[in-house]
Amino acid sequence: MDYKVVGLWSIAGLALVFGVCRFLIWRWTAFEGGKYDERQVADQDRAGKTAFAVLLGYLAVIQILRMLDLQFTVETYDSLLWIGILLGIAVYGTITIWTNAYNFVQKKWKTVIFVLLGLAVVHLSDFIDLGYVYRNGTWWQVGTIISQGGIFLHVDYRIKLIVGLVWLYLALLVVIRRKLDERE
Amino acid sequence: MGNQAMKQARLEKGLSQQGLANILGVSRQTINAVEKGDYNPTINLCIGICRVLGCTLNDLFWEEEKV
Repeated sequence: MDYKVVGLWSIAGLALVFGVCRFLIWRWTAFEGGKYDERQVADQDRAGKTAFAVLLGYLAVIQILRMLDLQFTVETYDSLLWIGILLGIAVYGTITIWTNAYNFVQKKWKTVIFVLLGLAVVHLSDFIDLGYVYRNGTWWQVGTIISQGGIFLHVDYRIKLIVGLVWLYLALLVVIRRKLDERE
Repeated sequence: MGNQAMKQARLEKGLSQQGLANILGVSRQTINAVEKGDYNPTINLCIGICRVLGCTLNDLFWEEEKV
């Protein structure tokens, strides 16, 4: 495996994830003129700080494990970094959804669920397709269009599973929050 | 424990949480959080709530010291 190629794909993937997240936050923040009350602003800040702290803690754990001289392959280390990013997204999403920090998520909750479920399907389609074939020490996806070529080619397949589950979890959280809000 | 005084004052005024939130320009969930005691509002929001409900800060936001 050419580590430079893996690194470049990871950078491209990171840039894409960052760009998509920034775009969504920009559009959702601009919803209804971007006006948030003091509690929502405080919860958004708290979510950001908490997600950042969780990410730092996770990276510290990874570094400690490396110091223990555990054998990490490049793919494994790459995947571990992605998990940290997913943790941050999951924490930020959990706090902002649960505290109703974004008006868009409250009022356009069906759209939000649709987007999250769509993202989940994109990532989980690898696992609901024709399954995997184990050959020459590697799991190969069978007949999956999304994973053939493109930036996810060099990502551990388990990362796609975790990503899909994170989107599913956030979609479920929006539904639960909505049901609780209707009771209040 | 929450802020029962505020909830009582709001009900006496015949306002729903959404109605009070609309007047104050905040979200309904913020009003709910203040009433449940999950959020401590800033002084500006406290003053706004008191003004709408026709109460003083002492009426709605003073906590009796526990002996």
